[in-house]
Amino acid sequence: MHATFHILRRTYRDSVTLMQLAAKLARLPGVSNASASMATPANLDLLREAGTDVSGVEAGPNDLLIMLEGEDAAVQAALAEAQKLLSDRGEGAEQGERKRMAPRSLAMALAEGQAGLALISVPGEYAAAEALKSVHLGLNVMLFSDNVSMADEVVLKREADARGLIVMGPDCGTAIIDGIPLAFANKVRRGPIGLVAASGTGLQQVTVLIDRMGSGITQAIGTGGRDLKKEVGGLSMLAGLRALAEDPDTRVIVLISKPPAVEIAQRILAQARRADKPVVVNFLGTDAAAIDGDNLHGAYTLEDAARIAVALSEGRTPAAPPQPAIPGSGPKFTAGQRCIRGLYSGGTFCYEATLLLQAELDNVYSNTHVGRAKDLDNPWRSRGHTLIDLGDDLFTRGRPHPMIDHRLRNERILQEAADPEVAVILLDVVLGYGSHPDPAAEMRPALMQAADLARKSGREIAFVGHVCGTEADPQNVTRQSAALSGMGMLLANSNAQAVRLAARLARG
Amino acid sequence: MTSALTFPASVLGIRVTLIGCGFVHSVFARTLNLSGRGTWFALQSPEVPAVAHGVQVLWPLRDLREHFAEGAAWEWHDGRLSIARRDGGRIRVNARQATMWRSPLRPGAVDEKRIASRARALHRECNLLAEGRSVFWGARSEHPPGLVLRARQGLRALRRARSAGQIEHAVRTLIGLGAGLTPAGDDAVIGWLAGMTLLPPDRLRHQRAADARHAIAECLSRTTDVSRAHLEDALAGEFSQAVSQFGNALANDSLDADDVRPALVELARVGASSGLDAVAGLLAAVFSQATIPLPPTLWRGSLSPDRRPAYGPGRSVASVEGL
Repeated sequence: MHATFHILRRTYRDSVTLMQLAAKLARLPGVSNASASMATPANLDLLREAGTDVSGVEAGPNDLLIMLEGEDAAVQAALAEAQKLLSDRGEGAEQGERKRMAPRSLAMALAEGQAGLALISVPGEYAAAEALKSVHLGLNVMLFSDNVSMADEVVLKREADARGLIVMGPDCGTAIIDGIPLAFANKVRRGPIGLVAASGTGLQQVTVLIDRMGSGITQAIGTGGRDLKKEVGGLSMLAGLRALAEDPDTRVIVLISKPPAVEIAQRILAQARRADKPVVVNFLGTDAAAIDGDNLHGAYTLEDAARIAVALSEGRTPAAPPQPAIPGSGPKFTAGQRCIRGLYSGGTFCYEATLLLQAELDNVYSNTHVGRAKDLDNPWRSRGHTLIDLGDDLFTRGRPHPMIDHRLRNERILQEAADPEVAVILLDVVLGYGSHPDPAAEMRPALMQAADLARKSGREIAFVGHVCGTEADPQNVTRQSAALSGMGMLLANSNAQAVRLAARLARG
Repeated sequence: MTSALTFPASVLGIRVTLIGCGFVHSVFARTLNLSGRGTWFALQSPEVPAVAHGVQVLWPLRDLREHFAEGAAWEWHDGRLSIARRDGGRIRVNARQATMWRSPLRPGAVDEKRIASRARALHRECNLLAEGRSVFWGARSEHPPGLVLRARQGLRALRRARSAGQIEHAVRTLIGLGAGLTPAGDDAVIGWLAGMTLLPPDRLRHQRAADARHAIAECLSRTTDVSRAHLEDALAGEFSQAVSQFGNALANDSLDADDVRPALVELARVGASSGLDAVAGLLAAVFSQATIPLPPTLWRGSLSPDRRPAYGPGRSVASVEGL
C-alpha cells in the first residue's frame, strides 16, 4: 500500500498535538497508518525503517509532514480532516499545552473568571505590594501573610476603603466567604449570622459553636489582629460591619476582638448601633454588660457570643451558659497536685482561658500578657497555673504552627506531666482546613506516655480539652472526640467550659 | 481588547538581540516565537519558565493563538516591540524596564554519587508526571513504538558512549528525533549537556562533553530552527530557567529529593513534553557517571519486557539496559 504525503511548510505544533492528530487520523475508516511529525532526517529515517518510501518527499526540518496509508478516498478524507484539525486554533488544537497552568499573576487569575477576592500568602516584604495590586484591580483581599508593616496596613486599608473593598489582614488566618472556608477555617452551615473578627481561633470557635447549635453563618470576615489598634482605626471591622448590615441574608451580626483601643471601640459600637439588626459584641476582657443596650448584646466569652447570636437569630431570649459537669469517677489527685497547665495552639483560646482562669484562681502565669496574669520569666518552663500560647512567634520560629505540627506541644505535655505539682493539662484541639489531618492520632503517643509517666510516680493527671470542629470538617469532630475520649481526655463543648472544668477539678 | 495595547516585559533573556524586524514564526498558547534576519526569540507569558532567548511579557492574554498568527510582522525599535495582531491592530511590548536574565546553572562541586542518589529518588515522580507525553518516561508512552524505542536507544547510547564515534552516533540518533517543534531527542540532548555541566569536571567528562558539543554542532541542520536555537544556547552554556533551577536543586547538597521535587514539577510543565525530555537527558548524564543501580521504575517504559535484564541491587548503571 503506497503512502500519501502532505507537507505543511513552516508549520509548527507540539509533539503531543501531532501524536494525537496521527492517532485520530489512523482511526478513520479506510486509513491503515498515519503519522504527523516535523520532517527532520531522524523522523524520515523512522518512516523509512517502518517500510515507508520517503525518497520523493521534499521536506525539511521546518516542515510538518503528514503521512497517510489507506484507501485513496479515505486518505483524501483524512487529509481534509488533518487540515481542519490543524487550522483549529481553539479547543482541541495544541493539546500539548492541554494542562492548564495555574495563573502566575493577579491579572491572569482575574482573567480566568469572576474573582472578587484575592487570597495573598507570600513573604511579608512582598505582601503589601501584591495586596495593593489586588485592591487596584478591584478585588477584596485576604492577606494571610504576616510581617507587613503597620504603615503598609493603613495604606492598604484606606485604599480599599476608598473603593468600597475590604482587606482582611495582614496575618488573617481565618475567614469563610460565601460558604468557602479560607485558610484555617471550619466547614460550617450557611445560616443567618454574620461575623467580623480580629481573631482567628475566636472566629473558628464561634462559627463552630453556631454550627453545633444547629444554626449557620452568612459570612465570617477576618480583619487581622491589629485592625482595632488606634493606628489602623478598625477600618476592616467597620467595612465588614457595614457589609453585613447591608446584607439581607444576615439577621444577626457578631463582632469578636481582643480589647480594642477605646476610641476605636466607640467608633465601632456607634456604627453597630446604626445597624438595623442585633449585634453581638465579644471584646474579650471588656465588661460585656457595659455594651448591652439598644441592638447591642455584650458577650463575655466566645461561647456566649455564639449562644446569644443563635438565640437572637431565632427570636429567642438567650439562656444562661451551661455549667460543665465533672464526671462521677473524676481523677484522684495527690496532695501536691494543684496546678493547671494549658498548652494552646490557638492564640485566642489561650487569651480567653487566661481571662477566665484568673477569675477563678490566683497565681496564673501566661505568655499572653492579659489581665492580672503574670508573665513567665522563661516561657519554656511553667510555674503555678500556666497557660501557654504555643502559636507565639517564640515557639513557631523555624517550625510550623502547632495546629499543623504537634511535636512541640507533645514534648511540652511530657514535660508538664513530669512535674509533680500538675493536676490538669488543658488542651485545645483545632480541626478544619489547614489544621493537622488527624490531631487525635498525633496526640495519642504523648497523652498515653504522659499518663503512664504520672501513674508510675503514683499520680493521676486529668487531660481536659475541647475540640473546635464540625461534623463536616475533614477530620470530623465526632471521630476526633471519640478518639480523644478513648484516651481518657475530658472533653467540654467549648474553650470556656473546658477552662471552668479544669478550674473545678484543680480546686478539688 | 483595543487595537494598541502596550504591555511591559519583565525579563529579557540575555541572548536576545533586540533590533530589527521580522515575522511571527509560530504561535502557541503561551509562547510566541519570532524570527528575522537569522535570529529567533520567544515572547513568553509570565507562567512559562524563561528561556535564554525569551522575553517574558506581563500580558494577561489567556491564549496567544487568539491574538497572533504565523507570518505576522513585528518590529523592534528603541526597546519597544510592536507586533501585528490577527484583527489588524497591534500589540506593543515595552522592554525598556525589563530585567536582563541569564541562565544561572552552576557547575557543582557536589559528590556525583550523592547527586545520582538524589536523582534516583525522583524516577517514580517522573514516570507519574509523564502521563504518556514523553517518549522517555512511563510505561504508557502514547507515541509510536518505533519512535519510543529509537529515542530510548539513543539516550542509552549517549549515556554509555565513551569514544567520540559513539557519542557522535548517539547525538545523530537523537537530534531531530520526535514529532514536535522541539523534538524530544533535542530536549534530551540539552538536558544531557546540562547534566554534564553540573557534575564536577574531570578529564574524561571534559572530553566527552567536548565530543558531544562537536557532534551537536555538526547536527544542527538536522532539526527545526527553534530547536536549533535552544541547542546553540546549550552549547554556549545557557539553559532555560526551569532546567537551571532543576539542575541547581539536584546539585544542592543541602536538599533531599523531596526538596528537589518542586523544581522537577516546574520543569515537567515546560512544553508538551520538552521539560520531561530534558529531565531524562539530565538524569542520563548523572547516571552515566555513577555506579549506583538504576531504579526499577525505569523499566516501566521498556518496549520489550521479555528482553529486560534482571534488575538487582548489585548491578551498575553500565550493565543495565534502559534509559
